[in-house]
Amino acid sequence: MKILKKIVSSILVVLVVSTLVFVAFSVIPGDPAVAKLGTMATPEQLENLRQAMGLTDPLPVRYVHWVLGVLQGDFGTSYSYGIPVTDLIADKLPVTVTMAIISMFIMIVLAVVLAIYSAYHEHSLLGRAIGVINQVIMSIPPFFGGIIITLIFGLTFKLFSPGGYISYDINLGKFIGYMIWPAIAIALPKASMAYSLLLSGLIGEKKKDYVRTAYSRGNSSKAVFYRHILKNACIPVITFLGMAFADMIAGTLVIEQVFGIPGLGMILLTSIQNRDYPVVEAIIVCIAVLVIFSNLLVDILYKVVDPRTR
Amino acid sequence: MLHVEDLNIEFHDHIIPETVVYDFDLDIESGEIVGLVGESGSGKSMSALAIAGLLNRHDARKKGSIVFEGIDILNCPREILRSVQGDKISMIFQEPMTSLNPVKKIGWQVEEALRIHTDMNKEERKQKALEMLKEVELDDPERIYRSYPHQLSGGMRQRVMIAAAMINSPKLLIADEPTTALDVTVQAQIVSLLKRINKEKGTAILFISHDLSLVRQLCKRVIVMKSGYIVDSGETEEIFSNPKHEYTKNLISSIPQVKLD
Repeated sequence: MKILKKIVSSILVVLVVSTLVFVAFSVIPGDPAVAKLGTMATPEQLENLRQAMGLTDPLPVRYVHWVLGVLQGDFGTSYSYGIPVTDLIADKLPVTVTMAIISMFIMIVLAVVLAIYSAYHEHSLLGRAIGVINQVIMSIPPFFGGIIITLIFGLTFKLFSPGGYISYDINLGKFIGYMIWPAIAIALPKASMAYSLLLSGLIGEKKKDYVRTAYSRGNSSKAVFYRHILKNACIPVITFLGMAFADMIAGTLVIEQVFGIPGLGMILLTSIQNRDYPVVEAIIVCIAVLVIFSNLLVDILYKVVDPRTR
Repeated sequence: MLHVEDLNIEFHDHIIPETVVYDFDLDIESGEIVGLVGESGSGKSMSALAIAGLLNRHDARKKGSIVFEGIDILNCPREILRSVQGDKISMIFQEPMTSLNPVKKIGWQVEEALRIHTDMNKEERKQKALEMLKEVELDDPERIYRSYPHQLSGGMRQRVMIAAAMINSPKLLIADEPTTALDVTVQAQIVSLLKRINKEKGTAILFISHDLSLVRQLCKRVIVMKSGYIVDSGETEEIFSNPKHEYTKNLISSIPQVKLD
């Protein structure tokens, strides 16, 4: 029941976001017609183009028109590319989503494996070393990490060709091969945050009363760790996953510039410059839906793991 | 059955080592209920944890001996210690609210010692767990079995703890202030439950409390501790009528008396 409520409120949030986006782009300065024809165009030419673009209608009419289209999967036609926005985005969205999902996966694996190691070997040399390295990695922004990765793994070890890209519809394996490196750049700082969060959870849980109870029943340290502590320590990390995913989607838009990958980020930038509002609006709505959907997943996961929130 | 001699517990987790228990002696025969009384910080819980083999071996240094049915609890290999814990020695704690794992179902936690120490299959374990939940006087064991700790009251959780501790019919149950966190009516119920378990199952109980009146109801023998030392020990009635140590006298005189006109 609570989940149904959550779904309904998620849909409302998407609606609010889309309204805000549409209104915002209608009121900010800048004229798509001027952007397309240049400042040398005559007033008649501009007026004709505005009419053709449907910009002369009042705002509410345009909004209703737009929303009805969006509901049918039609985001309008791109001003600058002249093709349907849906086609334009459908082509690029998989790049962003794949990268964010790979990045999420790398983050979770790194954080979980290293945090478990460090919690087990709290006072060992390697455990401490991981802690220090973690502090450094946490402060490396993805674009810089991306440059370092390109330098080391691309140029020095030649594990991938920097600036290269193979589309997913040509060769899925090679496409993923190109996605992994930017995904690592995005994942690293997030992984180190998740690591810190999980590690402090694990160490904190170790001192809880139920752990003593578990030992009193004859559990080994390993059994106490995996059967009792781990699940409890994961609870604060789950909240973080939702935020991290939203950040990662934003991160892909930047990092694809560093790696020269033609994804949503590139079209977003050029569309903002060209005042190509249908494209910008569509991308923002898509990202909002992704973020809201991932938050919904996190909420469900939270309820699965922590019975107290049901 | 249990023989503790000259037990000294010293903590080395700070710069200056700190001794919390001095020359602790205790004998418990099977089926006996022994009370261990003292104020907070008197070392009673530390002694109990040492007997249950639950003191962290890194931080605490122990001298003397704890022998339970021929097993040297202080120095035996961990596997041997684990085979005793939850099977022959069980323990319940002061805080029923936090002593259960919040994200695991009650049934899972009650069965845990069975999973560790027996070869019972899932169905047998469930039957046994339901039986135990009934035995500790919980209504609707089926529902409790499927519940999570936060859905139960403090008294119910302590009963669950007792069910989980008693599931392998241990020889010794260590009850570390099991009623302190509960309100008075529930306290009395838990004490009579422990009494019944002792009578029916023959489980010896080491009952730790700072509440002398509870100890008097339950225990035949009592040990009084203060600042890490045993200051008095003997038959409960003897101690109550003829306390040797000044501290014991003060403890007894501080029990509120209800005068009826």
